[in-house]
Amino acid sequence: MTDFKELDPLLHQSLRLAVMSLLASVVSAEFVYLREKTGSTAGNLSVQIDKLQSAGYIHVVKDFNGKKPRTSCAITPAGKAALDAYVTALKTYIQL
Amino acid sequence: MEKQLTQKESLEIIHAMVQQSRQRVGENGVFYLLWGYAVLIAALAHYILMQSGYENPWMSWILMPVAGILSGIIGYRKGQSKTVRTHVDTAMAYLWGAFLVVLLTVLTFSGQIGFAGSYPVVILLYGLGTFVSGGILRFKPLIIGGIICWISGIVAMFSPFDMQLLIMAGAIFCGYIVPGHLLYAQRND
Repeated sequence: MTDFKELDPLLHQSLRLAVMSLLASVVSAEFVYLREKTGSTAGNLSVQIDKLQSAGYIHVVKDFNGKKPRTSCAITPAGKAALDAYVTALKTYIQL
Repeated sequence: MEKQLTQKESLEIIHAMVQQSRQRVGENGVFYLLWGYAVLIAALAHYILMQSGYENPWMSWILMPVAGILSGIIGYRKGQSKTVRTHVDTAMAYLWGAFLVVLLTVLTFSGQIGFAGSYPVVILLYGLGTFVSGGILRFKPLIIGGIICWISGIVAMFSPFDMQLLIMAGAIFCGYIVPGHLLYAQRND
């Protein structure tokens, strides 16, 4: 009998999982990039980014590019570990 | 209430996003072309001026600071409009930063080792830059170009100075200009 591991509820949501997967493959990404790649709305993305930040999964920096405000996100070591654990848990559900 | 994801959907999202984050390598092409043509023109001009008996034929290398400023401007503009920083970007920045340090060191102290001794080293260094960046970008023409530069560098060690200039022009053509065009052609893929 396979030991089913609980899936991290913070990552088990499509947009948050998409953001974490994107950030896991790059050094850092701006809000615009995440919105474009995930195809989400700015409002929803902003809410999910806040949740991931509160959990310490991502690091968010807000600054200005000239006069335009810019939000950069990067995955934290804790976020990377959580994503790894999530994928490991997924594997217990799907026999790989 | 948010819809519950199935495990299969989770995997699909992860897979799709990792695919999405793959970088378009073509955008790097412009730098190889800029430097490639600058070195090609400077080396050939140096050779021609030397053959024609001009007093300071090395003046042709004045083109390099111009190329430096130009690539600085292009790099800055690209950086401003870039919305993502990848590991490839970081690796490339370290590679070309190190390349520049060694290049400037060799050129600054070429009086110590002699011009005839420093040009082959510069050609070998060109090879290192293309070979490693070809590995980082997984772009074979750059890797092949790097190997051609290394062979050219060895040949240059056994050649008189005027021939070294022509060898350098050939090496830069194979190592930078040809791969640069191939890379540039991929920029919108």
